[in-house]
Amino acid sequence: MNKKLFGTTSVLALVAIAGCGGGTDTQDSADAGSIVIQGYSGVFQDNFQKAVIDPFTKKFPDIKVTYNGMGNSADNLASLRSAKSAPEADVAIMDLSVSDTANKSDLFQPLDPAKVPNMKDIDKRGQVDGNYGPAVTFDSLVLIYNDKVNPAPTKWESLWDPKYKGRIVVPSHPDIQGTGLMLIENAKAGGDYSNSVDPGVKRLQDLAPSVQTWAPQPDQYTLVQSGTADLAIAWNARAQFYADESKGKMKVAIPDDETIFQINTINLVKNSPSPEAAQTFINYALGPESQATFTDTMYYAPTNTKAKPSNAALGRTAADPKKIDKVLDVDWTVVAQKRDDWTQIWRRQILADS
Amino acid sequence: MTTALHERPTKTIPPPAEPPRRKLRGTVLALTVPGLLGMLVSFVLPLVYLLRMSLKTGDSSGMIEDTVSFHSYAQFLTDGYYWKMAWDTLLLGLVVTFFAILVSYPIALFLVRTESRFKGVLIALAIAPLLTSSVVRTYGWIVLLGNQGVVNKTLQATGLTDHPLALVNNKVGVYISLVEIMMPYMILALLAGFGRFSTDLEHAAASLGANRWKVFWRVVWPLSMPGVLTGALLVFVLTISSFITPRLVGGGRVFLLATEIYDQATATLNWPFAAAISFILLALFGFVIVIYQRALRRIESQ
Amino acid sequence: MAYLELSDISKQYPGTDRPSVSDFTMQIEKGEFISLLGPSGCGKTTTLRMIAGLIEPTAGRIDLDGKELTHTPVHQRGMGLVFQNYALFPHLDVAENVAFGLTMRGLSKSEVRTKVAGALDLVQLGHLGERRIKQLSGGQQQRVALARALVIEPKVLLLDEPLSNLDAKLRDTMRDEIRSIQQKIGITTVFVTHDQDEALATSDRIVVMSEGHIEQVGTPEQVYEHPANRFVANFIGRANIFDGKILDTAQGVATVQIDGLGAMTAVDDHRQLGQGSLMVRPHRMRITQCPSVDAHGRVGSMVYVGDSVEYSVQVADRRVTVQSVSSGEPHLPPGTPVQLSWGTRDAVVLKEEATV
Repeated sequence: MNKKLFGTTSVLALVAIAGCGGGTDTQDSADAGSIVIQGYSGVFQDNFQKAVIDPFTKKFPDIKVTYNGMGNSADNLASLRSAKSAPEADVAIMDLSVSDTANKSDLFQPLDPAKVPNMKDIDKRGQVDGNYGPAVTFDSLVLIYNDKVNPAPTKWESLWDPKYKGRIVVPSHPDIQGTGLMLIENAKAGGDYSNSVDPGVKRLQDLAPSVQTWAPQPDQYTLVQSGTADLAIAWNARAQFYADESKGKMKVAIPDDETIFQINTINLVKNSPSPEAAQTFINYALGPESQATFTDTMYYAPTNTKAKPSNAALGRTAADPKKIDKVLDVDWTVVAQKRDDWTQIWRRQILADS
Repeated sequence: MTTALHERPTKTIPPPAEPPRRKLRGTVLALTVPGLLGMLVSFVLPLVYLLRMSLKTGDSSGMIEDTVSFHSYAQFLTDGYYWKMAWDTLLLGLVVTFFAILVSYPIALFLVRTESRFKGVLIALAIAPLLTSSVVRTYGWIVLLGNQGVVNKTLQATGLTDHPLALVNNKVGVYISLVEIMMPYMILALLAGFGRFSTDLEHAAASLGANRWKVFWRVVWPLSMPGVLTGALLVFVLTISSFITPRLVGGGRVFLLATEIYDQATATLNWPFAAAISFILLALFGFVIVIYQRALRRIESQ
Repeated sequence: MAYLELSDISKQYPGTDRPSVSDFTMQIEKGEFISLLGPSGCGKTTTLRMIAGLIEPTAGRIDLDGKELTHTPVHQRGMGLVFQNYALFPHLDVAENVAFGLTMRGLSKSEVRTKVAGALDLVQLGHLGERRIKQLSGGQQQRVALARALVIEPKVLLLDEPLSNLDAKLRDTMRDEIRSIQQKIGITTVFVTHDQDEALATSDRIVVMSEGHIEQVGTPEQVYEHPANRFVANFIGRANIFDGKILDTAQGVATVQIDGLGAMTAVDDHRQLGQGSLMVRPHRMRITQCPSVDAHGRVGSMVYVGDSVEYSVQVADRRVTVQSVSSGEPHLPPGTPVQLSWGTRDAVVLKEEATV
């Protein structure tokens, strides 16, 4: 196409050719084509490339994969919304509570079970009604702490220890980490989030004076590593990664008590330019092989029940058989619907004047 | 004789080829077209889109309903919480502007008056922070104001406090860093304003019996008013629309209109509400600019 | 003791190799109108500003009315200042400008009103009190500046080139007006100018300055008729200066031998024989046609300017300017052999400077 372009002088011709080229260039089939994936940037992107995309392209050399990094799930949704009439992306990876909105906004389309056979092996927590994109990663809420913290925390309760006053980091709701902590405390106090989160809110009100920041900058991993903060709630996969990177300055504790999963789903964009190749990719990402790699390299708990990761890696996730029962069952669809109400509660009852 | 005078052959200078007015106007129009088009595409259309968005209805899960209703505006205006947020925003703008004037004025005055041969360098230094992004400077403040930062360490070393003061992750930090971030704008505006009067005015006032203090309040200050007003407007508008600094330094405790727009758009996903707040903020701008214009007209008419 | 005394005041700005003003000494009597006259950079404005207190002298002292005020700050000196650019306060109207100094002195409102009205009447602006400064013409602004300086009844009025921003016609009117107001209220005035006509027309005494020091102090007539040296002679009016040898001097008259002209007489205050020079103003010379054998020189060029004719005459290797009142007689065309002459009182022997 480029060679054609060089020969043309007229700008109009140039545009016309580029237009035509774009249309005819993509040929889509289950084992050939070119797909665009939108997901988290940074560490996730680096690891996802290594764990999934590279082996995938080795297996399907005729499918060209481009990864488009986005800041967070909301950014991802915004990008999909604005490109709704002519989407560029084929596959989107985002938080379940956001993908639920996207499903309902007709931004995604259901998968074909015949083309994504691995769907049926996905853990029930990661199944989504209507054959919409299921869970591709399970992450869990953990505690991270500075190496000076002694003794090492084993329960969420450590956050309420007065000796860490002003040294605690809790990313506030609507960040799901804050939401998660509220749900955990709510459940521990015997509450049911679909009715009321008052018990959880009460606990967080008690915590508020100890919190250094509700919006960590740059992020809690950095703050704990640098010693600016002592204790923080965090996501396991990243925490494990940074703990290794920090050479012991920052450590991770998967609390003995309840925790929650953070679920990322992998979705097929509605009117995707290459739905066939995209579903091949989705199927591959959900497969036992790449799910095991996920756990081994990124410490995400596998979503595919048939995945066989190493025990060492599994032990560093909440999917550890000893801990899996402590994972709370959360209906993220309900959470999504409560998000705004809870935001108001947090603002007015927890964050205000804290 | 007289006729001869009149008949002196006048060298007829062709009337200067006066470009026909219409042509000139055409040129002017043609020159403004790219700018106008740019404005249309980059400002007017998005604003129309935003207005339309503000009339839709969003729900808490991020779904957007295609309605024409003032639901989002009503949601804002009927909730005291948002009125307080608007008030906090206004207050932030006023206080930051006040302190920005307070700290920038002496610097600007010095820069205008100094006869140092490094004057140019000094002025460049004063406004150099504009060359770095405010994100970088905000991170700088997070470090400086933190528990282990220079400020707290100094306070403790001098025995003024025995425990670190909470200077960051709260409103105090937002105020401090915004004042500093706004200073270069204020200094620039003041420098432009100071350029308008000569030191002879101060000499004249002094010769008439005014001491330094009176010279300042009766002559220098009133005459720098246009610069002060320009700077104040600039800083006020930039402050109440700033969201990066409040987010980075606020520790998740500082809620302002601009950060709320960001949160509603990116976290709560309630775009119609975000759009409605944008228009409310725009109205606040309009209100302030009207007041500013009035003040300016009063000063100019003097 | 004089009213205003400047004793050996000097000013050298840091980083300069030469003082702007050096050892300036001068006594000014009460009610005197003194002009500081000189080319730009001669130190006249610096001197004025030292009197005003805007510049601190590096050495010397200033006394006013028997009290030293060398280090008194500006606002306590009670001097009226008028600037070249008028320095009127643009944010105040005419009356407020004039009232400024009175308000600073804490006068009551009614006193202020009366005095402002009086001052504005003095400068004939009684009807313009409400005007904004930018609505005034240059001449009117000048009057406001004058009123503002005078209304505080200053001990000394200091004028820093106040006329140089006005057009030629207005300048003459304002010059006369300033002089007449000064006469009327009898205020001691120091006037800085580079314009000799202004200085001659207004002053009781003129201080001619160059390069930071005084060249001559004298009445307008003295500095014009009896310039002390070449600089003064050349700076005030036009001068023909002849170098020669003083053959004889007695009873204030010298005979000077000048190449090409022969022995000429001139007024002499210096009484020194030997090398010397003599100055004659162009209009004090006579020019007469003569046979070429007797001629001092020939007419080089001629310019007719209405009431007079200016000849440039080639005498030996120099040119002499002669201004002759135009009469009905025909002009002397270029090339005409002429003789030059003057009366003894039309020429003056200059004090010889060491460098010449």
